[in-house]
Amino acid sequence: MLHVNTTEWFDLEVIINGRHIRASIPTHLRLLDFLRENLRLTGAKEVCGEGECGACTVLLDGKAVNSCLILAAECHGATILTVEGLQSAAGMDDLQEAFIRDHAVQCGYCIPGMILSAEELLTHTPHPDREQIRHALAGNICRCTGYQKVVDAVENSAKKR
Amino acid sequence: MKIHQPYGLEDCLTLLSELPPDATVILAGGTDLMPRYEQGRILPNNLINIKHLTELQGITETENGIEIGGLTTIEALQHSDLIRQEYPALWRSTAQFAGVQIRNRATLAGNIANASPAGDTLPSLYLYHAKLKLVSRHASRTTRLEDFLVGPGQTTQEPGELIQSIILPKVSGSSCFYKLGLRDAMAISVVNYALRYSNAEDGELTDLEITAGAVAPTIVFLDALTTAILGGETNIAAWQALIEQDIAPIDDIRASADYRRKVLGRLISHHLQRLGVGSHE
Amino acid sequence: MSEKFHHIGKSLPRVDAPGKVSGLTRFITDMHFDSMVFAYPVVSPIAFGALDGVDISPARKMPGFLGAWFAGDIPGENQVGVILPDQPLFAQDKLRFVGDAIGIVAAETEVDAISAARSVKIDTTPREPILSINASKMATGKKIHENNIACEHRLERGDIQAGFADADVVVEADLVTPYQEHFYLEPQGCIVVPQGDAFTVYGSIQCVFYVQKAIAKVLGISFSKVRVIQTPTGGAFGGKEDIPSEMCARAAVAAWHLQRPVKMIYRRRDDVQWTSKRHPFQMHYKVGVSKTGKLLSADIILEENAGAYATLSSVVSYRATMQAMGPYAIPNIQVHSTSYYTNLPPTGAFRGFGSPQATFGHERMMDILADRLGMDPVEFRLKNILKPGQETQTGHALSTSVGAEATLLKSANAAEWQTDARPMVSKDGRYREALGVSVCHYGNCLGAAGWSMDGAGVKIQINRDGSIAVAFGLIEMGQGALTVVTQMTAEALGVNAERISILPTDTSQVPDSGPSVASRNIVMTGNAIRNAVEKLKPILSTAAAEAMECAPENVAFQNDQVVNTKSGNALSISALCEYLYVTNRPMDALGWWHVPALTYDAQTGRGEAYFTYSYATHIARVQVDTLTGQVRVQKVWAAHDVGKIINPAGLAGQVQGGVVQGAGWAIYENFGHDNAGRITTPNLSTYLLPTAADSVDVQAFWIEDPEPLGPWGAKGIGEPAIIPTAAAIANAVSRIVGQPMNQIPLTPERVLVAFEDKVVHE
Repeated sequence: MLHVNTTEWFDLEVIINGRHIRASIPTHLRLLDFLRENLRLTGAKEVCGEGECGACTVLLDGKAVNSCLILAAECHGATILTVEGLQSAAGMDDLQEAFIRDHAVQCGYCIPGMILSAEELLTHTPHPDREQIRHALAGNICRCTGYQKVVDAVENSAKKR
Repeated sequence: MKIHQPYGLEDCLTLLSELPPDATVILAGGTDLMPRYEQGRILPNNLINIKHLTELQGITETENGIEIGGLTTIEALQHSDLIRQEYPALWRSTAQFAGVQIRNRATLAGNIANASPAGDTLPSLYLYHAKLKLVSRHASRTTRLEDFLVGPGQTTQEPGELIQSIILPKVSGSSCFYKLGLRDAMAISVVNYALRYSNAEDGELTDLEITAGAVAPTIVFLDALTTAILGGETNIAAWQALIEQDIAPIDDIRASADYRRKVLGRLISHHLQRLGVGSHE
Repeated sequence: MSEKFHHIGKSLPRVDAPGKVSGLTRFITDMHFDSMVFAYPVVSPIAFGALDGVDISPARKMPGFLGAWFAGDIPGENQVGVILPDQPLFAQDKLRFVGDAIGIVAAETEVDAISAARSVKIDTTPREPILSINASKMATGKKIHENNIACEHRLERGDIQAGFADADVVVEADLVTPYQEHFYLEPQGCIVVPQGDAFTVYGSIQCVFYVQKAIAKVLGISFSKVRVIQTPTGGAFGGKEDIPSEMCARAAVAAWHLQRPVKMIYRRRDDVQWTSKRHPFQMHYKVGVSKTGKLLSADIILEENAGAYATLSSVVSYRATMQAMGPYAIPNIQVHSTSYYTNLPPTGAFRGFGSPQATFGHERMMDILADRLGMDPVEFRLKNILKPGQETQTGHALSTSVGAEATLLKSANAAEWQTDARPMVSKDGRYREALGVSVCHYGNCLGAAGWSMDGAGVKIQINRDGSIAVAFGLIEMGQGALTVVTQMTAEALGVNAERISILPTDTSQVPDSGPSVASRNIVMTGNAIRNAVEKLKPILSTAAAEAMECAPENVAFQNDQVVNTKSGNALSISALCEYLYVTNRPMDALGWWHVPALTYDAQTGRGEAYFTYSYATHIARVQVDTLTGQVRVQKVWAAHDVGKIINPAGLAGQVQGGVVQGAGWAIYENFGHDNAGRITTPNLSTYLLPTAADSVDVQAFWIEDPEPLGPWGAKGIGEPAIIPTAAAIANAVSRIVGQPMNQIPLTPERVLVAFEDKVVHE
């Protein structure tokens, strides 16, 4: 939740989940709020609002970032992928399938962010070992699973790639 | 709040010179800045997003070492073979820096400008005798990092100035970084240190420098210890007092000053012993 | 067992996972209603003192401000205490902690509501707050309520003095366990939608019937006018047991006045400052044993920090009292528990509900005693562990499903427990490793103290198309309830799981089923499902017999079909359901199950404290860095007696998550507050949760010793998963350090100090 003395507006152009989007937004609008409130893409969650939990993770030009720490205006001209964009007409992404199959989901609040961090990892490290997976997911806090099945899911998904 | 997003350094410096300094804030990675606003501080009237300044990006090899653009992200340093091979302490500090989401955004200049006593890249940058190239509309200057950082959150950065790059001279010998956090990732350092040494052919230590973080208002060189060791002080029992000469830790939520003093001494002594320095007599 | 199951014991993928991995599951934070407004509480800025007045004029100037309401604006009763009537919805005169609600503000947007609430000027006369159990005990003339004791429990059995007289070794120790913040990832949240004089409430809620009761009381309306629908809940761990009642009731006051939907989501730092946590305990154990290693006598004092209001303290401390000496036979025991009020956030339910604390007490004692006797910790436990035919510490004679010994043997075997388990030392001497063991039992469901509300219901509705809708009175909060309810319904009906949909928990669907706590879902809902199916099966069989023109006794439900066992003819379930409809037969049934009567005497604490118990042993392999005092858990072997496994993968997930949450409490989660009662660890950079990099490798083992009263023999698992972990870690660290580590968290600093003390003494 950000506060300003006076609200100014910004004309934003951005590609989100393959869709070209133009919007006039307050300059102090966080990317997270733009996604959740303006676009109703509510997969990214706010848990801490301070960049410590990773629940708001999205891919910004292919990189995992905390959308709570980024102003929407900073994303002008960028390409963003949220969890909603992973699913195609052909069905779920293989990581999503793996998370279901390996029982990596409990309450589910961290899962969209967790999956996007894993996506980035598998993009640059297609066959990570468990230690690399644990390290790559360290910015995504989960309070339910103890991470073991999350790591299983990422490992098994990588094996299938 | 107006957001300014200059696409060239000159435009940016012009903006910086024209906007009122007390109502203007520079935004780089935002990973230290944005949480403060989340915690209630009011955003400035002018925010300058400098991420599009190509002049501040990239790692370049120079004749005397390397020059790292201020906007180079921690993740980019982590993926740089040059950094891994030539500046292993810095590379190690980037590996233990927060989580990937932060490393993808946080910049080296930002970690410096934030001036945290526990800043993870700082002990290594001190160890490598980093210099900063600062630019403003009509001037530029080069300063030693240790002259730039003056206290927690305090620097000698002038209004209108930007950290353009970080200059690291060539390094001889071996170097490494160690961080003690309260968990294995996503931890703020309780203490950290960087260490560089050279050996003569017979194995004798010819050069030794150690910097430590989170034990004083800024990073410190443990000069009393290293001078004594190079002067032949091999008795480990004497080292603790020498270390304590250069540090001034505080109690905070993570640890007591006493623990910081003690644990820094234990870690460094152990480290030096593994290098074959020191004995218990 | 000879019985063959089609659904029970299979790892059905979680039925709620597709929505969660695709980001399409709508949590309360994701929901909107037309004309919705936002609310935020006005809270006490001080920990203790008098409320002299409020000035809302700054809030009135805020954009979008709609109103502010205080104690005098409550239409019904200003009271939300869940057990004791000690907690006003809005404080009127006395302020008891930083975050004590005074009123509520509503505005058109969330930012405006929060800003307006924070702008309200609150005049107070502060007093020096009482911030610890000892300060509360010692405070004379300074009372947080009528007195500073929230509740007490006693257990007296046998003759402890005679027991100590017979003992060869008597050991006393003080033990301390800290706060634990739930840090459920989804914050507390609700939306209250008014419709004339009735209200529909949506929220992240563990106990929908608690919320219904609280709102009815506060608004002065009947239960029938309050419908509570649980939204998918992003973690709770007990933290959404009682807090949603006060939160939803506050939002309901605004909704009552505005007649518009009101949404309220707590910001994280506020959530940490205002809502419940695990009770800190300080414990004194005095235990006597014979030199052969038989437990003879125990005198146990438990003291709990209840915070500003009693909330659930009396049932948390009841459980700790009833389980204070663990799953061991002991003839003489006295336990006295006292919960003290302090000027800190009220403590309440947290996974384990007093058990992790009591288990820390008895399991540290077992290791200390073994050490004094020169006996191996596992061997010493085996000499005393409860077996069928023996009585619990409360005198409850156990006959069936007592898997305590089996869990201990299984995990000790798997961990290759060595009788001579001196710490292993790394080559350079820096790291030391050892195993630590801990055993627990956990009384299933609410026990004698909560027996009157220990019933739960299920409604099974069969649709014409052959699909089956199930409404249950308990909830999914991440633990896997929807999936096991699906499996148990499919098993009981003999149909495919794909036919079954579980409806959102809704007070209008089934009668008051009590709270979703105490690991009671599988037992309560499973039995209720069987009850509902007992009612439905004759109807289905008769209809099927009629449709297939055969005798009802020849009808069998197999592989998602109805089969005439004589002729081999089959009818699809869909065809049967259509036939039910066109022949005007009942197509639904309400199933109900209540825990059978328990014989228990509250004065002495003797009797059947719970109807059955789950058992578990955790063995942890722990490494200590002797340079820094850092503790790392390398592996945990966890053996659980669950009666009967319903979903193996889900079960493993519960245990893995429980172990890591337990390791967090034992090592990382160093909760703090300042002298003014403000929490100094309100975010994730100060309150450290285990990350994936700190995750623990858990190897789990299952003991299936069926409980006759459990559905298919099953018992609860949600809480046993966390209960023994911290003590196992502390026992390992104690062996490594050579000093009793009787206080957690085991921060590097605490461990290093102990280690250095040891070195000095040597």
